[in-house]
Amino acid sequence: MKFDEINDAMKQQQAGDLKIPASIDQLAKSQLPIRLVHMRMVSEMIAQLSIMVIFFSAPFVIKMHEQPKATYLILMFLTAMMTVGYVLKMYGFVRHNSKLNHNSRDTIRQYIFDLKILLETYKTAIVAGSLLLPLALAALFLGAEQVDVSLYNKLFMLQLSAGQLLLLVSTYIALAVIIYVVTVKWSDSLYGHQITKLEAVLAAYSETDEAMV
Amino acid sequence: MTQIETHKGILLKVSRIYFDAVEDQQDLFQEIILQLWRSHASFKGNSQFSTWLYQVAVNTALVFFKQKKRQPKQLPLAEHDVAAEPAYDNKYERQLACFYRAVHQLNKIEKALIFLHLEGRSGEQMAQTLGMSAGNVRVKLNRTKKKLQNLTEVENHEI
Repeated sequence: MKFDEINDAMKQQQAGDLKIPASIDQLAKSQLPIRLVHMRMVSEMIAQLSIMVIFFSAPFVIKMHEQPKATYLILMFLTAMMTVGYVLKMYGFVRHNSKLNHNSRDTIRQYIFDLKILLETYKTAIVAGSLLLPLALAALFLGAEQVDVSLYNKLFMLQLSAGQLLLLVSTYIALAVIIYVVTVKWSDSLYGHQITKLEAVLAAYSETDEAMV
Repeated sequence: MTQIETHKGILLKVSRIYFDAVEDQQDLFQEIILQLWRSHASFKGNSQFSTWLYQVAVNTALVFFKQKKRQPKQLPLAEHDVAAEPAYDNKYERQLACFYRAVHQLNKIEKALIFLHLEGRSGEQMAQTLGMSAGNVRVKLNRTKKKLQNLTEVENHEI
């Protein structure tokens, strides 16, 4: 085998489709937000699963009356199912995108689209969970053996006056709204900024293409 | 970027040795450039730029090749997506095509050895780049050259 001849033939070969990108900055800038998003998602998945374990073990730490304990576990189970749902979606997203090379405009565009959809799912699951979680926590604390079980009964059997019921519902709705707003701000701070950066990279690609025309 | 442009031939060579599909070659080519850009700050200038570039190119190719092997192969959607076998103008192009077909059948370390051998790297330099002993490199390189010789003979016979 004549390696010298092979070498000469290779040197004469044209670059063809293999081109150095117009701006390495654009390429690199798109990679950093993507990696940050993945790192944060992995941390979040671990945190969510850990929180679920802690919540499920609460009745074994805090001694509870039987009925409140059952109520708490049922509500926590429902919340856990929603959490597991979006954690699995997040896992699938990270796993699928870890295999891809986001080094073209189209793959970055697709990534942004997929990430936005995932975030909407995440926010929806958090909103649903935030409506169940206050009830679960109320069952946990009012159902503790140290607390008079009649308080639990009053609340969960709705043995309240109209005024008390109205106050309870208003407080509940206000709490749910607060949880929703905090969640949206939290997800924007974790992922929303990275989406904005990726969109800026896409815009820069378009400007470069226009300049080259 | 100017230095990368100057040494572009090295990146082209390693991309073509590792992959036959143009999309994969482009992906590896871009990935090496990205890795060079990222790790440029850590290049202290203790060695030549080209030595450092070989190290980054080979390491990136090895990792990238392993990742690509795990992905399912994408089949062309239509017949016109399949590139026709090019017509060769001269015997060098035929020889090169035969060489590529043979080298794509090597494993990732063998490809790296052939690439570095084509670049004229010494045994010690190859050993340093691949993290192997010089003796091991010598033995593996000889075996790889023989294997490549056999593969090209088979290719020539089939042509």
